[in-house]
Amino acid sequence: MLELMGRAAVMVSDPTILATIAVSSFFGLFVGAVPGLSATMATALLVPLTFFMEPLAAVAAIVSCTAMAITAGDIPGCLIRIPGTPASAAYTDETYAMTKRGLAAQALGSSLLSSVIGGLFGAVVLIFAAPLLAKIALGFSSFEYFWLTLIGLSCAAFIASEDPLRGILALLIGLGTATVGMDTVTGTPRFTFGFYQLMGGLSFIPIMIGMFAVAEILKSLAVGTAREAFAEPQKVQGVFHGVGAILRKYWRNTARGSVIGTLIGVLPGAGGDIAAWISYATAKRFSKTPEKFGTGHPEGVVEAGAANNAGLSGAWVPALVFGIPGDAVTAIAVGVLIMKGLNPGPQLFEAKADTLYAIYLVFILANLLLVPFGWMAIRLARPILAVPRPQLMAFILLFSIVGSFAINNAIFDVGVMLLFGVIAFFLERMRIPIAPIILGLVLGPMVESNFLTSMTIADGNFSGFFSRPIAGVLGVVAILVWAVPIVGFLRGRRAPLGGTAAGGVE
Amino acid sequence: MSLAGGVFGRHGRVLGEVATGAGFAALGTTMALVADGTPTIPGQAYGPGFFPILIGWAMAAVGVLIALRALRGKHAESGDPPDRLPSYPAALAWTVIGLVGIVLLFEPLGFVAAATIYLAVFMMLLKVRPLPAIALAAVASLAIDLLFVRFLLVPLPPGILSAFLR
Repeated sequence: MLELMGRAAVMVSDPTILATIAVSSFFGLFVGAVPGLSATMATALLVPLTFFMEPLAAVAAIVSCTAMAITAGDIPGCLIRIPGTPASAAYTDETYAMTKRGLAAQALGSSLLSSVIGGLFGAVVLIFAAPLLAKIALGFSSFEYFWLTLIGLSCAAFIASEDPLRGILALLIGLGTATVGMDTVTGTPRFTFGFYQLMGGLSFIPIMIGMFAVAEILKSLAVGTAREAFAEPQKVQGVFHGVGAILRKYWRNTARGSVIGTLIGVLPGAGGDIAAWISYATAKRFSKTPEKFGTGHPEGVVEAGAANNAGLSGAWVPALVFGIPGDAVTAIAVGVLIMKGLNPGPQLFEAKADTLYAIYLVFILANLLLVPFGWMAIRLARPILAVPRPQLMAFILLFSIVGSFAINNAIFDVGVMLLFGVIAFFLERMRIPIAPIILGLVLGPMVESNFLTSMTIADGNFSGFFSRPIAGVLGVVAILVWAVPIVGFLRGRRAPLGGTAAGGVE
Repeated sequence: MSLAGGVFGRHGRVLGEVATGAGFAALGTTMALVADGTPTIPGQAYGPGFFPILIGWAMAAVGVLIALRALRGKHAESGDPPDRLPSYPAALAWTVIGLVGIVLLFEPLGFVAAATIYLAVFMMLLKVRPLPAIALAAVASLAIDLLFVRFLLVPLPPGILSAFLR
């Protein structure tokens, strides 16, 4: 293992890799710090550039960009009460309250350092848990993968949305979109209507760019924020003063946030943002002084800050081991990995162990670099937030167009980007969540091909899906994941008229 | 739908949700029926049409459930703040229509020309002064053209500027 570490260290210290990490971190810093630009959007726009990078550089770019973006998202939330990324929304009010009390430096410093700790914890879990899981996965056949991907889809539908029906609808939209093109098993064209451009299906990255970048622009034009200048943030001095004391006092929160964040990140469909909300709520629930929450109290900030970065690393565990993404960013990353010949799965851990170790080192390095880069981001907050919005949106449109084109050198993909941008705009107005759509898009083909393969092996006999021990367990879990909400829904409808519905739709 | 909610109040919201449910019910049904025509694998019970049909009917069912739920007066969300009508309708329309134009005119116009026009008009519709808008759009498009064509070897069409650019 030491020898592998050594080789990995050599790979990572290549100047190209280090330069990629630096540039991606800057990019992530900017995107994270500007409200309206999300980490997912940054990753989607980064992918066309990763085409021309080596596999390790491509992964390094995505990892450092997103780690930096999700950390930088705390800055505008704290200083001007507008979160830079959705993950920071959980504790924006709290950090802003601290700013009003003159404690902005402490708020930013403590959330930065707790983010680093959370991210490192998640990276360590990734480093040790992933190979263990991979060993188990070596024995997996199409039956196990079928149940696993089905569970992944179900989690996405139920966790990512407050309304299960809308979550399921979003999932179905994603699954349906994935069926366009030739099917994976027989090559029969589906829903192509004679268009040759659709034979290969709808390209994933243009869809992502459309749904995250174009839709966001359409939304700000519709809602009226397109010309709003951000309020000028105050200058922040002495970022790390007193932060050590805060972290020492609330070490339990940092620890719990890291653990919860990693676990939630591992679940498909739930990523850094949900982890942040859940751990902020947990911090309040288990706090000795819950009344202080909301007045400018670092306890929740520290816990949620650790959770959202931990969630980022955690999401890579199922992505690397099974090819099942833990969140939208890893959904994109899985596509990039496959493109670069680093097919996720147990084989990756055997055949490309040195690249994997290099990836682990990149995780550690990216999280450690958060400290100097984060400090720099805090100091640069004022010029960054002064960029006027129309010009910013123009840049995003430019990158979106050329990025979507560059995937297949096809202008058709720009059309796909536009179509899905408009679709996502309307879906958002109907309060239909976007995350399950992506999971449906990515996992749909996997579920289908594993199902058909398994059916062929079991000779049309459905009981074959429970014949192997692990498959049987996973099958039961999958059934439970669906049974529990359905039972809750039915119970709610039968609740007495006078009382409140338990677990019902309300 | 939030737009409907603002204009027509609570009944508008119910209507919007019923319309959404009905719309997806129709879409799902169409999908299932279209997929029904897919050829099957001889000798196998489940062919390439199986999943699309399944997804189609499931979508139809969920659509019906959403519409029914709205009709029974139970909303999944509480109180929707009424939406204003689009604040920048011209820019919004241009964003979409301009992109359609780009898709259709990409080859003849070329990337730089098309992008410059598109972005300049976009910014001007957002009240950026014409000269800075055009200058910024032109410089940015040229820079991207240089980056992607020279360094990343992506064949962006030069179009009407081919004499200058290639």
